[in-house]
Amino acid sequence: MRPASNTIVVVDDEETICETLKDVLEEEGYQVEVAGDGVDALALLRRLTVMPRMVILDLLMPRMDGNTVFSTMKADPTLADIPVVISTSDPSRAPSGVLIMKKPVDLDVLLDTVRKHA
Amino acid sequence: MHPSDNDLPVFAPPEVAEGDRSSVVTRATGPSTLLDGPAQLKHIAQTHVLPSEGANVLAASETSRREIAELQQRARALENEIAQRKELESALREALVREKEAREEAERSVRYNEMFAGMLGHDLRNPLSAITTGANYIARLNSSQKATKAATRILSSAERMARMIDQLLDFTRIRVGGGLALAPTRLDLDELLYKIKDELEAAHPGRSIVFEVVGSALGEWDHDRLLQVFSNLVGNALHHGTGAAPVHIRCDGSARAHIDVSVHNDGVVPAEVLPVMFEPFRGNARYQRTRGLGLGLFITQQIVAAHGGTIDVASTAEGGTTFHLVLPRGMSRRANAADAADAVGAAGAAGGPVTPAIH
Repeated sequence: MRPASNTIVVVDDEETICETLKDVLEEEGYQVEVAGDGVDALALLRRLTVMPRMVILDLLMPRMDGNTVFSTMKADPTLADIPVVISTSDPSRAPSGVLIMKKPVDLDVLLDTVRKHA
Repeated sequence: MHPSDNDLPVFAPPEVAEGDRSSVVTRATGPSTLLDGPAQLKHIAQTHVLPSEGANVLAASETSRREIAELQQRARALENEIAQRKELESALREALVREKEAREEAERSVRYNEMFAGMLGHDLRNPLSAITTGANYIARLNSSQKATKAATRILSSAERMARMIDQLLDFTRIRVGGGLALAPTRLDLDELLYKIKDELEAAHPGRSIVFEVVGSALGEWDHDRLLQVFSNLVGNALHHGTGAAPVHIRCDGSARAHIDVSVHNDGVVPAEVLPVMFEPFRGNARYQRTRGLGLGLFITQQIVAAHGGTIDVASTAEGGTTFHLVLPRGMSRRANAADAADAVGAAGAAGGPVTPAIH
């Protein structure tokens, strides 16, 4: 995968959250791709020809949860280096050592996190 | 017939055909082990026993009759008792089965209700997050003042709903999940309480909170959970106080092993409410209309208990209302916390000045 693009991937089964974060991030000049569950997220990440700058990942999702997506990414050399931010209302479920953004997402925190870590 | 024959139990006489005595065993012909009843004995005495031995045999048979009658009476009594016990045992077994079934049904019902609340909490959170994030976005758009005000109201309601969902989830963790899990870290309670004072004063313009700390407030506790505890207590104190007097928070860390914290306001809790203050779902119907589920103090008590501490409340018309907490400093922090407390304790014991810091 080529070096990081300007793309941010938002993974959340709540469509309105995906859409709102997409609007906010696009206003800031980012390109945004969205996925509604873990299976779609991994398929999207493997389809991308350039490495996204960041994945904002929900935890509780149908078909495949965020923890499984995260561990699969870390085990896959082509995805392991993509920065991941876990977006969750229950941080105790998040894998250790990962950036966490508590839901409901504070948009200032979101933009600050993307600027610093993407 | 013997005079007492009527009192004798009835035995079936042996059926011996006329002219066939060989089946009846007598003293003259063999052992008496086959004699099986007084009627038979009488029959033998009349037909086979020699006249010189007749009186002795009859006397013996009289004694045997009485003994047999007594034995039979006891046997009947025993049979009755056994039957009664069997009936009792059977009734007891049935009652136990019914009780077990009822208990299992009740437990299933409680468990389903609480699991339902837990799942509902999780499933509600996601759309609520979407509402909050959307309202947050509208409020940032610099659109009309009306739109911003509407977005702010949506945010306020969504935050209230989020708090109630959090409480339901905590309640579910306590009742179904086996209690609240703590993540203790080194903590200065002084800082945490000061932060709460700052935030709540900002949220309640015109109200003041006096914060007083004595000694060391160091310990090992779960930061977020204690933030929840004291936000709840101080928030309640502001909400239910008259507003004429400030809310007081006093943190006393002069003891070696624990910290005493009290939160006081000038409000009065009705006497009938005091004993149920920490019960879950206390609230609307039993006390007054609140903006929550009546779980705040229940969860507060559970968090304090999970830290090994205690909380109680006292309220009088003259003295107002005081919540008093005792929080152990935490095992692994005991040495360091005690060192700090020792310094204060030593000054106090020596009559030295222990000046409370008032923020």
